[in-house]
Amino acid sequence: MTNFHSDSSLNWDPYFIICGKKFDDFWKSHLESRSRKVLYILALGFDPRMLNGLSRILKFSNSIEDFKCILIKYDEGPSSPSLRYRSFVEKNTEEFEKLKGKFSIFEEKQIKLWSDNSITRRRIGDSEAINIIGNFENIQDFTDIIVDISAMPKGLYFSLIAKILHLLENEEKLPKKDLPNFFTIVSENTELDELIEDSGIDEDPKLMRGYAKELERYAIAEIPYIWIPILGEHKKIQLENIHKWRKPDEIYPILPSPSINPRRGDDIISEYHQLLFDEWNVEPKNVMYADESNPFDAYRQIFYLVREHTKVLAPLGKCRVAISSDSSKLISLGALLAAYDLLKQNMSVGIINIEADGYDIKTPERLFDLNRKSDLYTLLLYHDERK
Amino acid sequence: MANIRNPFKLRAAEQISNPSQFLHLFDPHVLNIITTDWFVEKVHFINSSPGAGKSSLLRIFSPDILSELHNTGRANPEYKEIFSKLNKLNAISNTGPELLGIGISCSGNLKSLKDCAFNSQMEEKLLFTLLSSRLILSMLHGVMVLKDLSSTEELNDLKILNPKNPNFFSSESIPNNGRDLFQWADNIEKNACELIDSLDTISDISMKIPDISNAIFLLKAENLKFNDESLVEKTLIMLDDFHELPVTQRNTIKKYLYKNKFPICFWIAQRVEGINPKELLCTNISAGAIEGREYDNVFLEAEWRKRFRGYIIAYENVLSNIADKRINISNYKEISSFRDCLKDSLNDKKWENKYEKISSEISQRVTEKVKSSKKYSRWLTEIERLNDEKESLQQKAIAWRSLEILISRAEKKGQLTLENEFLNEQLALEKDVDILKNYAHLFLAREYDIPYYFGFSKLSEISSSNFEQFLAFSADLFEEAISSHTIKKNSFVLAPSRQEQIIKAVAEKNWQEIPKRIPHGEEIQYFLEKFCQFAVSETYNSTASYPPGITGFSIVDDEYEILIESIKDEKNLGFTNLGYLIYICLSNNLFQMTPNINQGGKSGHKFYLNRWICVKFGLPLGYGGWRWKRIEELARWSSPRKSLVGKDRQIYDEFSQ
Repeated sequence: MTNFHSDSSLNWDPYFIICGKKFDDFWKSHLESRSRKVLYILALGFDPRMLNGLSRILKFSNSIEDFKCILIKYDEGPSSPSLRYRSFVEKNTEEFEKLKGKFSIFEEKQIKLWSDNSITRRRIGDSEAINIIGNFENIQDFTDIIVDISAMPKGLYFSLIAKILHLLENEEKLPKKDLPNFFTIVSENTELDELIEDSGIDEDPKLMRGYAKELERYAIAEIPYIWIPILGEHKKIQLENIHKWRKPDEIYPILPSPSINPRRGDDIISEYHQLLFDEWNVEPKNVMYADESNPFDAYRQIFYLVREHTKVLAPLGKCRVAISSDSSKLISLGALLAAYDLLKQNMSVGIINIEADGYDIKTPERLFDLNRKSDLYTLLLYHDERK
Repeated sequence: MANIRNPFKLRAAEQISNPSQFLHLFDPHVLNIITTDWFVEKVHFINSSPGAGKSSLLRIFSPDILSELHNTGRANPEYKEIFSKLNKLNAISNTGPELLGIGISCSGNLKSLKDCAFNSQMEEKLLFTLLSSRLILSMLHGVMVLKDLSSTEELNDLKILNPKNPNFFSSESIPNNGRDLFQWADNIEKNACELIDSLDTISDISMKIPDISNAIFLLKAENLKFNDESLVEKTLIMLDDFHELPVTQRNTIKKYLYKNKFPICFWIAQRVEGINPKELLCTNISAGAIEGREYDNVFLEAEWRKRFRGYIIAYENVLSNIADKRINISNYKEISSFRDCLKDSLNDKKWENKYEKISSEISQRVTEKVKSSKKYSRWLTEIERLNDEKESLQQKAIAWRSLEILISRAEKKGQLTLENEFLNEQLALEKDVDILKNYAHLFLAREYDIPYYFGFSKLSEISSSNFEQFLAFSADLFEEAISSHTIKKNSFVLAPSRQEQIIKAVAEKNWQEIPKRIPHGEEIQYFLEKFCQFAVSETYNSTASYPPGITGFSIVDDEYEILIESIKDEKNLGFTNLGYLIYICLSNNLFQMTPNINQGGKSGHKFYLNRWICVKFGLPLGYGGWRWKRIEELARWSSPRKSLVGKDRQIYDEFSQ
């Protein structure tokens, strides 16, 4: 679907997102439209959705002149709870090996999520992620860049996507029309998401690399601070830990609604009712709603909210805004896009994230079965003919 | 101040941004541990477990709190004591705040410097650039509060004089009025933050970073003039969350502070993280720093015990004050005291009947054992005394059970024939009798399903000297009290059995959250469970051999050193694993450590369970019951399923630097 209501202040307006049956139709026509050199970046993990996008795109590999695949292997540390799901990773690896024959070039990138294994270790996945694509020369020869975030932790893809956008938007040597298109693909399945829970949740949140500078500044520490959390199920500890970091002056929670499960918004409110309304005194009118299956909806809501508050609070020195997302990957992209766009427009915005040591799967035997119900989404983040 | 439904859900006081609310909730007795020594111009490390009140202690000296106290507090009887204590510390007077607290947190992007691939020289330069610019900004924010300025433009009246200190030099031209200084520091900080957060690779960045590390000298009170008058008598630089920095950065900052001997008082607050006592005690011989000369170490929990005679009662009173201050801002004006909501005796009909049956049962057991011989006449006399005296049924039941324990001990020692001397000896030691009775009370609670964890005193013990922990338990108890009142229109008083249910539920919730909240949580649970199983079996043996029950262990010095070395060189993975487990338990407040103990000819370090874990496993709450443990045995209690230590990885590399 595309949106034709244009607001020039928004970077992604009109926007482009497709899913379902249109996924194949679009990619077929896009890849066949001219000679294509594709860079596909994905991460290796236990999530069965890992290869959904890649296998579908490769159906059209005959149309692709060059297909380079970068597989990110991330190290969660020797004691991550996720290590018990090694067999799922091996299964994904087996399936991935079958697809390798269709690549022109294959590259593996090892990155660490932790600085070391010492007692005083710190999270560095986001800093490592920005080095996956070091500079523009690494992507200039491609016509299309695809980052598949289906099995990629938030701590990686937020900064990776920001880096690629940064490179594309700041490239001065090449004309815009010769720059690659940039897509992100996500295989979405909220039912499957429900089975996977964070384990060993960090006590302290992290400001994501590429989105941190404004929220770190002491000079503006006194101006009003607003927190916009995109809510998902079973994330109470994460929300509490983010709240402890800085007590917000205002909270604007976003509920994923509309949703495939029409009761999802109600269920989430019910889960966090005491926290939001009794402990944190959130005004009920502050609760916002964004389409679970369209991250551009969350993007617009957040963008307009921040822009409005910045205007209203200008006499107080504007405001600082932290955006967090403990919901599905698709809607989380809305947080990413909003933060990126607002930072470009010199607003004091940042993304705050709580990671976990690893994951715990409630009923692992259902994981691969449920994958059949996953939906593939493509978002266009940078277009060679847009500007 | 708006009333709140459940004010115990307002967590630690430093997160309460409203100064008036903070003052209202702050208990002045907390200040009793601070003396004028704390303001001597050197570095003072303030160490404690999480939630023990470090940040609140720093916050009370922040400009917004001192200003609020001066503006509204002098005439307010509620704040009289806080004012008086701060006045004695020369932090405030009738004319206004006399101290400017300049505080920053070390959490945030300081540690991210290590991830930016700068060379070490550049990293160090940026570290001090950020620190110095932030301290300057904090000072300027503080001046705005003290002088009630509404914009940075009004800082023009603040003049910053050149320090008369031979160590001060600056290659940068530093503005000498507050307004320009703010913009200068703001630009420096902004550029530094942009550098750290940059998406460009390092070679693309212009590396012009000013050297302003010496700017800290400017922050001495004598250099700050407002409208040509002294701003304050003294300044106090406060670095909070110091433990968040990597060890190398901490060492760099410490060396810098010791070397420059800044004529300013520094408070550096950090959690007790790091199993190495040498690290905890901050010895840094290579920098020529000696405890007492360049720095002092304060351990908050130990200070509590030192400063308060009858620590337990004094601490309980502080908690009671804290609780009542919160009650005052609740919606429930009918409640005057939180303590009154927690019934602390089992003196109603239901329990009296139960105790009567218990007494009867135990008395039969005991009488059977001793009635057969005249040799046990002294025992029988004691028994008759119990029957005659007008003690409560609960006291009688406890007494019977105490006697039964004594008889078990005597039997074990084969001393029933010497019962006269033995019993006299036992009964003569009043202190031991009290401990014995507490033990008997615990046994009765377990054997007959009688509530044990109830009442304000027990709640105070369960809080383990940690204010946040106290608030967490109190929040649920208060929630129940107000819900019960809403539904049944009864009083707010909670029955002991209900209190115990709630307390156990909170403990259970904490336990279940360990794998989620704490790294290697499952392994931690396994270790704790093993120890607690041991503690339970030792505590509840029939002779009650280890009053007041086992709730901790100690490791002798030699073995402790082996543990530290194992962590560093990983030669013995079993001990390395154990070291890591103990460290995680310490830094997540599951253990409380008492270093440098001496007992029975041995010296070592003691580790007590956090008292909420004692609740989870039905252990007593008193301190004093622990066992010396070999590290081999402790190592056997770590999970056989998984080692915390990977191959070819040094997990303690930073401490070795």
